[in-house]
Amino acid sequence: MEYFKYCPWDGYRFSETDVQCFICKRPKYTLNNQPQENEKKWEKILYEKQPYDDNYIDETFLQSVVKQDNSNGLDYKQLISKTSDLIFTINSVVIYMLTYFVMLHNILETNYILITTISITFTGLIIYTMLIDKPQEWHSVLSNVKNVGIYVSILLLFAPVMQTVNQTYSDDTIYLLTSGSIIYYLLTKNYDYESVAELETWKADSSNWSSLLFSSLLASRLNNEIEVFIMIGLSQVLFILTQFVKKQIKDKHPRILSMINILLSIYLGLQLLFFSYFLALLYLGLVFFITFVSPLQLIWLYQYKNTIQGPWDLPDVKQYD
Amino acid sequence: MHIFQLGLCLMERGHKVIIITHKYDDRVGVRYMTNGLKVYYTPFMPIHDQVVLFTYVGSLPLLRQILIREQIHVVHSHAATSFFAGELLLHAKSLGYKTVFTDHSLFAFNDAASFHVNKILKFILSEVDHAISVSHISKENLSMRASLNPRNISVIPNAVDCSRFKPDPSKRYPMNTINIVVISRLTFRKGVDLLIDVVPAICKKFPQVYFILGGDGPKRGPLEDMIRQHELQDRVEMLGSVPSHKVRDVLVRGHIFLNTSLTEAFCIAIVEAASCGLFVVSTNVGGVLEVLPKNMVNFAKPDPLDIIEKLSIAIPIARNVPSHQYHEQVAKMYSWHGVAERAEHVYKKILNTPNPSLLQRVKHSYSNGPVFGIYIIILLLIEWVLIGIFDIIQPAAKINKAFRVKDDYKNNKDKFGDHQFRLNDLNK
Repeated sequence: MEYFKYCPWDGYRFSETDVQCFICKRPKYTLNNQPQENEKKWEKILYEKQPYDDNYIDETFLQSVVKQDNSNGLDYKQLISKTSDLIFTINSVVIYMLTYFVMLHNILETNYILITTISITFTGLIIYTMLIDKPQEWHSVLSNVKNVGIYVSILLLFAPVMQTVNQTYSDDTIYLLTSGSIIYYLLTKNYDYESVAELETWKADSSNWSSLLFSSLLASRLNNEIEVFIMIGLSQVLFILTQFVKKQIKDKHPRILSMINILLSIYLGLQLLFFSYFLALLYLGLVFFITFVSPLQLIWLYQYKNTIQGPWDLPDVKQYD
Repeated sequence: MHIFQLGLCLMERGHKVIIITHKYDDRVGVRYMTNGLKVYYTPFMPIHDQVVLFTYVGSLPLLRQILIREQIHVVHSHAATSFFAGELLLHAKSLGYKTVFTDHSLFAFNDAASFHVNKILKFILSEVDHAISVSHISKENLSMRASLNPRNISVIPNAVDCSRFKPDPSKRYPMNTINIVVISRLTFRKGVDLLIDVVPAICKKFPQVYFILGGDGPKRGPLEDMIRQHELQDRVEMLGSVPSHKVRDVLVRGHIFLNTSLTEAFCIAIVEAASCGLFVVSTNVGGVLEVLPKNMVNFAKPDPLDIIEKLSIAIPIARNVPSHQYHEQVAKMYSWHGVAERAEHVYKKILNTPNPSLLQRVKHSYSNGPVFGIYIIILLLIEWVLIGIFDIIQPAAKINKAFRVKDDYKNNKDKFGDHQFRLNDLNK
């Protein structure tokens, strides 16, 4: 007796020793209504009326289906390196929150924080300029400097407004909204860095607006306009500009980015210890879980992924907008 | 068009056919179309893109009344994305009618939209007696998506009314050019991005080629940008949206029909083009490979270079295409009468099968998964109770049955006296 090579219900490919389908447990399907020697062989065509019933199937049924074998799909080390984008973003958020708490409780002088922020910004700019392939022409550099000058002036001008606009809301409301915005930012941020970190094609999305929202909410709790200016400016640097530098570093020196992530995580963990043991443990636990445990979970789950491909899939074509 | 043509042909074969659909603008109530085809425009408003919200029990009272009043035996629904059709199938099954579903599209398995559509389709089709697909690829796709027994799926292709798509080589203009016609919705799925690469290359390679592009959609802008960029305003004609009754007039202007779809279950456009005597160049996706014989079509991979190569083979022979011979061939291959005959065969087969009991339906429903399955069982039980209540409030015996016009006059006109009189005779 002849049998189908594939289960007609879910496309599982039978081996020689199988007696039933591994997935749906139905018995191996037999071929019925085989054509006689002198009958025309059934073809997969519609333009001719064939001497078979309309519901006839033969051994070629589902042969066009391709099922991907996912048992050896993912590499653990590769997955760990892919978590670096998410860890970097979480570190950016933690740096921002630490800076906020430091300013709120006057732990460090405002001038010191301002100088540090400006230094980090310029350092990032220098690294970016050194790493990009295209040399910058003088007129575009001057144009960028002019744009930055205008932006900084506007920010300084609106800093008093930003400080007072949400002042009437209670602290609880502000912190609740901030928490929600941070979670929204982390969830909706595009971690596919190749598509977002090109200056020419970058567009703001909802995660960027969310970062602006929580930075302006927190700014309303601060003591003076300079601190507000620092917070808003720092949010732009950390949540928008750093991704371009990060892409260049990751493209050219991926190990350096990994080292930066590790050192930054350890440094931030130690800093958080000064504020709260619980927060520090939570942060370090989260980083460890995302970096080392989640990839293992994904590898375990991946073997159950059912990828079915066939002539119904849309081919990959270049798109025009 | 499929439902309309199939309905008319089934009526010609002596069956009673009614169509149930939703509201269209102000059109609500009962309408009679060609040959007395009755259409119920039920007062359910489409929310988006001609799709009615799935209410499950909202449509039950009205649909029950219609099915009992019209003394229906088989309920035949179309299209996977029509929630109204799915709802009607479920109600028809609960009311004890036989159900048939025709699928017209192909869906993938690996994207978010497909997960949801396939899950809902599996739910709806777990209740159907027989399914029909329009191509063999569509049958494979449907059996995997809805986990149906492939022996319960018949392949009955679409057809074309060839009397409306007759060739006319004298209508080809501009003259002295090889005209390539493209009529489709200008969307990603129809491969307009491939067209944007193909058109300038072909225009450059063949100075005698003229493109006629019909249709509208979101990709119209990039297409117009391409024409402007390559200065092809005198080589490419954009017609915009073409009404369905004018499609033939556009097709007969061409020598070649180009189809760049990225996925098609059947592709009726190429059959219409072949019926109008055009040579077809098409992408070899989905069920397109099964539709036309090799003498009428060149298949290309969905890649601009391959399409250009296949068009380059077709263009030199375009003027010598035997248009009328193509038309006659297509008329023999695809006809709505043939489709009606095959559909009738399906209906007769399922009318002899027993109806599943409520317990069997509950077991089928549970196969949809541990969570969704329980949800479906609850819906089934609610519907069973509601039908019981309706049977008490409005028993089937008390619902007036619709009058059926008999075919006696059509079959024997002489028996009904002199039917040659004219109004003028009355005044004499």
